Amino acid sequence: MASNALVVGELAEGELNATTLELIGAASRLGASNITVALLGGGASGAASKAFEGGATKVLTSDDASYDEFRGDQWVAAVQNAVEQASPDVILLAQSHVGRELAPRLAFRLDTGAAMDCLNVEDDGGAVKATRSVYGGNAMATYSFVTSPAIVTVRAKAQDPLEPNAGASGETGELPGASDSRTTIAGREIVEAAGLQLQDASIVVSGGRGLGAPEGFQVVEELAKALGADRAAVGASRAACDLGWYPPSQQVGLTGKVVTPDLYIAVAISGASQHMAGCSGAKTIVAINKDPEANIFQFARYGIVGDYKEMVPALTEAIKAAK
Amino acid sequence: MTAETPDQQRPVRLIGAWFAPAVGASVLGFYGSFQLQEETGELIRHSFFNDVAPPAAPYLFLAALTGLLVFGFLRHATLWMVGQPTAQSVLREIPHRMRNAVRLGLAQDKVRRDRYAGIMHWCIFSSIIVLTFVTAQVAVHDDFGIEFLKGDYLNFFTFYGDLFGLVGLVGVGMALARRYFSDFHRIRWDERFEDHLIILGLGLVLLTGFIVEALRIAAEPSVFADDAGMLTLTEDAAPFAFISYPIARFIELFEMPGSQVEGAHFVSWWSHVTLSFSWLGLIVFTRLDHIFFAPINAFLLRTDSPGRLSRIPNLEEREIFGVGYIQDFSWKQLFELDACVRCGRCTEVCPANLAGQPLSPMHLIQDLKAHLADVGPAVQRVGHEGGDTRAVSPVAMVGDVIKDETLWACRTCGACVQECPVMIEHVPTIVDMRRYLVMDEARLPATAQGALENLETRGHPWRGTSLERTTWMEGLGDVPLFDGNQDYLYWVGCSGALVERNLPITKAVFKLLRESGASFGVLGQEETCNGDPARRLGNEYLYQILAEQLVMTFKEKNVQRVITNCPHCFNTFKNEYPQFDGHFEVLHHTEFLSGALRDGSLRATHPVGEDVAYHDSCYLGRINGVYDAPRQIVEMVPGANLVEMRRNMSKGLCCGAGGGNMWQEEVGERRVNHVRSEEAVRTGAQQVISNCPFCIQMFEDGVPAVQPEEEGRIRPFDIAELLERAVFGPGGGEAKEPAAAAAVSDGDRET
Amino acid sequence: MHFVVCAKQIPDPETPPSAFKIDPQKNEVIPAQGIAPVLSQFDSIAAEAALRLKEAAGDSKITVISMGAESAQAAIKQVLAMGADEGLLLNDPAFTKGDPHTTAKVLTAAVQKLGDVDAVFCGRQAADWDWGQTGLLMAEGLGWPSAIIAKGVALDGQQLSVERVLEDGYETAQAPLPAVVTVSNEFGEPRYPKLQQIMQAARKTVTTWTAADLGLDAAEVGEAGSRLRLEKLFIPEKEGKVELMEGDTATEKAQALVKALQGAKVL
Repeated sequence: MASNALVVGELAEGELNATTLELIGAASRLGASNITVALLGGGASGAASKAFEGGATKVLTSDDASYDEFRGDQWVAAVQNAVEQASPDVILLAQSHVGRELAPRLAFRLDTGAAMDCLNVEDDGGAVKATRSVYGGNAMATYSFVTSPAIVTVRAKAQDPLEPNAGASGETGELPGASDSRTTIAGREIVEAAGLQLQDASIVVSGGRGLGAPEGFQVVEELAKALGADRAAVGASRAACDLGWYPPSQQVGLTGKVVTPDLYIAVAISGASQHMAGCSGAKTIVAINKDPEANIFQFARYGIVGDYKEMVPALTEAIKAAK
Repeated sequence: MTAETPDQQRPVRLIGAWFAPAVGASVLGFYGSFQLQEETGELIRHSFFNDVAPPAAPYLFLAALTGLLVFGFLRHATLWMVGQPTAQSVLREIPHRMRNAVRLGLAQDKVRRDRYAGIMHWCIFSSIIVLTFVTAQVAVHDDFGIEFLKGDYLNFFTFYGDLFGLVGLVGVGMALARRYFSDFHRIRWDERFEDHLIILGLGLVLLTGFIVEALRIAAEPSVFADDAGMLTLTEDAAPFAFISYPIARFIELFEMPGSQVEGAHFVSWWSHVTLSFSWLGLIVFTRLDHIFFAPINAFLLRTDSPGRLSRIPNLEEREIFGVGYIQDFSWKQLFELDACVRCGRCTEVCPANLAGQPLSPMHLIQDLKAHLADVGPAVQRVGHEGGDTRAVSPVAMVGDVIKDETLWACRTCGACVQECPVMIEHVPTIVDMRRYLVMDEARLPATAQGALENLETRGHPWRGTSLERTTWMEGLGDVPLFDGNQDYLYWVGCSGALVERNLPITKAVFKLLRESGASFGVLGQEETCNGDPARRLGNEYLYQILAEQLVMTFKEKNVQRVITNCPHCFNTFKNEYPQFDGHFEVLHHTEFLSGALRDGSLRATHPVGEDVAYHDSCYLGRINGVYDAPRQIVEMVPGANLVEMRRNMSKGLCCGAGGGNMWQEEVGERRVNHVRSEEAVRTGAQQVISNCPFCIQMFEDGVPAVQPEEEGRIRPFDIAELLERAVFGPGGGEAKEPAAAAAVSDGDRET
Repeated sequence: MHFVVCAKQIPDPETPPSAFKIDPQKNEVIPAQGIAPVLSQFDSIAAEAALRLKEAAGDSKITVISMGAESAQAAIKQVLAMGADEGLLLNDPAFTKGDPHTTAKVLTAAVQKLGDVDAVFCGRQAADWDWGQTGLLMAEGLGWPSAIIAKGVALDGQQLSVERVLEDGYETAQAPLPAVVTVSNEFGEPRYPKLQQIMQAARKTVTTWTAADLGLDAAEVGEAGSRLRLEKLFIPEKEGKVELMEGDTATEKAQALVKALQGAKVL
């Protein structure tokens, strides 16, 4: 049983992000009695209370604003310090741009192994086992760790947070400020999709290569608009993004965004496992595809077999009429 | 929706019907000239002042013209000679080539494919031929002292001279009407000053000819009035000069003195002679050179199938693979550029052009011709000096002169080649440049690259398919694998096995073959692409690897006869595999099935009471000439009523997928499949039937786009699906209605 | 400049789902019949990145390294055809069934043995196990800075400038050479090789190094040296209970769907 867990938390504009709470939940389900959360960046100490409410027993912070802009070498030094303080059996990170880089680096420095992008972490008679999707989602693999600590990155929204325990508190500690970095960040450009962010949308309408042409996204966008600009966003498959039909920032899938909306409408998407890895967490999937044998129908709850050029405008009209 | 009347375009085989009258009349004339020479008639042709004018003048003109023609020819020839040797010697199969030269060159079989132009061109052509004979006879009569233009023969001579002068003027009139009074016509797509010069010049030559003749007639009485016993123009003779004589009478109304008439005759004679020779001189400087180049190009025309692309020999040892420089074309390909008359027929039928896409075969040929004229002489010179001929051109032939997207827009459908009246072969020229883009430059559209990479790594062009080669066999019971003892190999093909929409076609062909009792088997998992898409996209290297492998597999398995359901596979096996020592008897399923219906091994008993429009796929129809077998099948399906589309048979329009465009994004105003789907919809039929999985996919995509109302929409089927219903009844025994399925497998792989 | 591209040969990720099978005893993927292994696509994009840098820098060399069986020669040849100069196969029975830790250890040893390497390019992850660790582990092992998930690279003297893909945008990170870069699909399509290069690549000989050549002990590589143990490999169950909307027209189908979604309280 993992008695000590270290969670590498992340802040979004000074607030603890949702994934950190999910990681604390996962650590708790692993049976960890000590759950240490490391928080780096401006507002870290202020966010500690939320971590305690989420189930942390100890929070280590550094408010150094240099951490706000993620640089792997600065963060890995701080997290190493946290490891020394917390002596964890398991280290949990989010499968984010932070976890993607930190987990392998930490694994090397601690001479241990890291399992990336896991959907599930469990305690199996004292040993940590992590299950992840492999072969582009065609198969699942469960790993155990030969060495300690076990390092695991967890896919966003794959784990549930604990019920918040209002007013909870615990021990706090400090992490060192940022060291020098060999990497300099020359510029950062945030590409905001017009309107709602994909991950925040309760409805996502995605288009794929089957649209046949970039113009196909116009009908997809109209459908999203009819569903409500405040809750529906437009996504795209990697094939469509690679063809330049839609901005890569809107890519849904294994190497794009992972979305878990209430409703996911896949238009002219065949449903390759790599795409499904990004949307299979949706509560309801609707597929619109010409090909009745398309893989997407295996994942979908509702389906329409037909040409999107007719079906999507008809659906847009039907939704407008239903309002 | 009104059905259009189709132009039935059965191939016409009546060789020479068009020009026989002209030649016949001339031959008769010559014959007559010798027969009648002995007779001492009362009628003789006088040429008056020619007796005193220096007879040398026309011969000097003739000598100058001959010199000019030789000079012009040599000037062109030096340009052609920068090209490479032809793959096949043009001196082989001479009888075949002579037949082509006569049928396509002299008899102008292709010119007649446009009826108006055919009549116009025959008028002009025959008139020039006959009037040349006429003039030659006058020369013999006047200048060589052989006075045979007299008596009855003179009457006949006068008659056909006038007749063909008139025929020529009719031709010129038709040409003028089309050039100046019709709506914007294809012949004005690349109009140049010389076009006006040629047609107006010819008109003037013919008109002055009549004036000379009329003045000569008018001059006779003044010269010979006193000369008793030599009455030269009787009222009896007048009807023969049925045009010149009325003009002569008209001139007489002016009551000019005899000397003035003679003077006018003198002036008009010189004008006529000068104009005639000047006009002939245009041969050297204008597209009139087609007078020589068209029949020569007919002689040079390939003697093998138009469905065959050339095999690049010894690929492994080469450094250049495609044609990226003008000097890399064969001399024959360069010769062709000079044969082009800018008639625009190729562009008029080009599917890409019809859809507003960036390809006009005529402009492509003309651009290459201009480029040859620009850089050819320098290439020639530098080549002689042993310099780098590749550094000569300041512009890239492929990329600047001919744009990449132009080459990619080609469907290799062969419509341009089919229509070209001077036998230019555009398709091999385009593919040669594609070969340069793909193999030398590696510059190709991303989607085409994806298809080629898929061919290389996965042996099929259908990137992202979720089907296996054996998926179609589900629910068909025992599917026999080919073991070398069966009569036929049923070749399913990548499109038949890996594209959802085509599985019902594959199943239908299989069930029909089984029902017919044929002995056949399939290769199943062992099928790989036969390479056709690679070759059409310009990757000859990949094609040769795939073709050689498959020829070996076929031989190992003792394959003798192959049935395909894809005309592209059919064409490659039939016409191209012999290049790799693969000689198999190849049948398209329509050929096999129509035979099975005829001999009774298949019986179509369930009526299909619908109008069906038949779409000729390019590679079965125009390129391989299989027009009848599929139509026979439709005719034998009870209740099915065959409706021809406006463009059909050899004039059929491509579905848009040929030449690797199945795997490309189209660039341009419209999509070709929308254009063709519109034509199918316009027939008013309930079904559009084809014989090619690509066509079916294209219609599945195109029909809903042009016919948004789902109700009453025309449904695309393969002919095997139609026959399946007629043989096994509705539902095809057990199968469901083939659903409208994906036109393009929309696999979204993230790898 | 000397660039290294790491290339991995993997089972074809486009294997139709029906042909994707697993041997539960051995915890292995059974190679699908007639479907040849391919070069992992992110690695060909990494090669493209290295080639563009080589073209910009001039006077550079690219070595492509693959750890794998003899068949991985095909993956190496593919990168050679794209324009890489030399091929290196790391092939030893001891290397098999490893994890990212051991893979990186072998590749790192090879880079160290080459000696004069200025930058290493890897795909952001291999499309079979989807780890996304090897590049970073190599950077740690070599002690070099790294930039992962690149969509663009540029070289300014000894300073490498990498445009990276983030969740919500891009950033441009700069690091001194030598460095490790992992490349993502946003970089663009890898080039199509010219035929002449394909033929030259076919004639090139690929050097093979074993564990002994790299001075590695069999116990520290492959399965023996792994930090992770694969307990179970399985194909997840798919529910497949789709309800297809009935209707003669698009409008009827659309209305049926809206009704169904309203019934399920999704709309």
